[in-house]
Amino acid sequence: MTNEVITQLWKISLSMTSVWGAEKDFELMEKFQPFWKKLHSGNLMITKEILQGVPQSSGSFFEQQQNLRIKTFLRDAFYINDEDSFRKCLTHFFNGSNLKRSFEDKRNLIVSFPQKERISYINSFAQQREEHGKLSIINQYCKALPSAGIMAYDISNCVSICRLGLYQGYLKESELVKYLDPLALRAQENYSSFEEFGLSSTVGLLYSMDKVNENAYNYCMEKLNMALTHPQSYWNNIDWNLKLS
Amino acid sequence: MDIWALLGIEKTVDTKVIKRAYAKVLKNYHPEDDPEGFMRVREAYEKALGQAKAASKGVNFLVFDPISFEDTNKCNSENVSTPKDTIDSIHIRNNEEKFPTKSKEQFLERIELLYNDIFKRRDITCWQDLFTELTVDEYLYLDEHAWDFFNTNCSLPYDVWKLIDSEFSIFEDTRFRWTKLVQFDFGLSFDCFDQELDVDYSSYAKNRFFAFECFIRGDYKSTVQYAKEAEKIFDKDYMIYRLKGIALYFLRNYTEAIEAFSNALLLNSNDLDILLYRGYSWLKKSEYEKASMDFYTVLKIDMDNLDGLKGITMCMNAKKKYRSADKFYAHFNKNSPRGDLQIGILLDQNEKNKFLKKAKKIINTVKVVKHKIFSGETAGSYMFLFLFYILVLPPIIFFIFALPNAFNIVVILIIVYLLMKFFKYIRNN
Repeated sequence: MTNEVITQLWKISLSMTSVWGAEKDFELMEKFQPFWKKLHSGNLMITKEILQGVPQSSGSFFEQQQNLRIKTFLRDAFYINDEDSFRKCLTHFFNGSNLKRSFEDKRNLIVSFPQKERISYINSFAQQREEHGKLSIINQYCKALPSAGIMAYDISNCVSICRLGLYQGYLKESELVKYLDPLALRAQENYSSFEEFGLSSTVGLLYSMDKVNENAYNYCMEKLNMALTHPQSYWNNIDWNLKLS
Repeated sequence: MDIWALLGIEKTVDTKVIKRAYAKVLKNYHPEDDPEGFMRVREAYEKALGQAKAASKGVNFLVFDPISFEDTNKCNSENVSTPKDTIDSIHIRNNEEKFPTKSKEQFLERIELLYNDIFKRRDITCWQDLFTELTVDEYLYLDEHAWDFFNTNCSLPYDVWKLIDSEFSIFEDTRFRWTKLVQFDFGLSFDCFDQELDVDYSSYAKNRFFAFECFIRGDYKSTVQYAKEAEKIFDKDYMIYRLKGIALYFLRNYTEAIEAFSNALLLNSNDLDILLYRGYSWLKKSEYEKASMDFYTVLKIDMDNLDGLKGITMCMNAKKKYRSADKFYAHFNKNSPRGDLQIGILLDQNEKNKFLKKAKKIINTVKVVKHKIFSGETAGSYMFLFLFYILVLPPIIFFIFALPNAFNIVVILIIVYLLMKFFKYIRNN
């Protein structure tokens, strides 16, 4: 039973480095503390709260505020206003976003060049700030990422959207499993550790930004650091090589 | 209207200039959409061409004479034709009808012959001669299909590309795939090709280009296959080992990747990229010493190389040499316009590990000292015990009784100590 719970936590933990992040997951762990002790002793079951990644609020006012915050986030970050747009967005990330394809195309191109030609190619875009920024990010992390590139960005956001969709009522629990299972297998096949997955997802986040300034970088760094090093983090307490099937 | 104004050029006897101008202007006059405009341009072209050819023979033309494309040397000043007459005799602009299949095949053969000669293809004068010898039909055909031919036959040096673009405006054609890359020669140099050697360079270059194409498509397995085929033909080109090595690196086959990179380095020992990739391959295999050597080599050549600094920092961290890791990290930070996620995480882990390492060191030191002092095995320990009882113990006893709550604290500590001993005893028994 504990294994099943840990497997489910493995799957939902993939959203830790999504755009939404893991702040609410840490709140939940705080709420159910000692989280890991309870889990290993079989005293913790996966509730809808944990699946959604959104703690239940103490009063109707705070619940309304939380609802509004999540609705606004989904609208601003993913243009999700209703169930239709939710489904479209989910499909978009599930099948592989344009961002991922663009990253792969550009990476394969610039990596094929020797260093001198690569730098000349990147600098030829010096006047197009956004393109130059994106190519620089690819150049910086091309050796660190596996062939899957920033697929982790799509996976983590897809899992995050599923969880928030469950909270908003756009998705049923039975449907959530249909998405989580293949996403989790895809993550395990293409990455070798939570560290590699988290790094790829965060690089994807940087790549998706129009401009990467110091604040944006620090924000991403903090998110990744928390996910990888916080003692309560899912990634610090679950084995990447867990048998998911 | 003046024929030269219609063609958009000054009066000239250069047939090449006239052909080029005609090809450019013709794009704006489709025979189906604007048959009259098409006819006007066609007439102007024929007139201009006729005049240019006649001028080269010393004859001045005054009257238009319809000249067929196949028979450009005929000129008859007595024949006058009207645009209406010639509309019926002009076919709708269709390359398949005006350019017979046999002629097309022969024409393509000439171009392919030039392209397939690996050394002639890189000689701009060969292409200049070819373009000068083209008939109008051939020129127009190539103008229409240049993007298609050169999309698949594209391994050419930049000066040849510039010539092709000046003839056919190929860089403006959105169907042409390689506009951005041609100025970099696709990163596939021909410098290592030696004409003296009896090598099928054409096949080699083809396989190498296929490897490159598969790589940019993300098909790393095919890249390795084509690279292996290329190697069988010619094994003195470090570029092919580089491409193969990187494909293997992405396929997580680090052992073979290292072998490919090592082969590349035998041919070009100073390529930083290859050294870095090999270093990172060693790092992935947890061979930190070998990885460090490669990163040190990179830093000797370029001490501010960010990938090299990152790699060496990761090696030092893995070997638990945190001070060295800090030093390289500081250097990296100084040169990096923005931070690095991997190095940032490592640094945080470094801080925690350094603290733990220091704490462990202190605890070990205390244990060793405690054992040495209280074992009573050496003269030093007896001396220390004497000093402890005379100098250290009395002040401690004084403070216990002098300070208001110190006595209570000591009693509590003793009780806690005794309880811990008791529980330990129960647990063990």
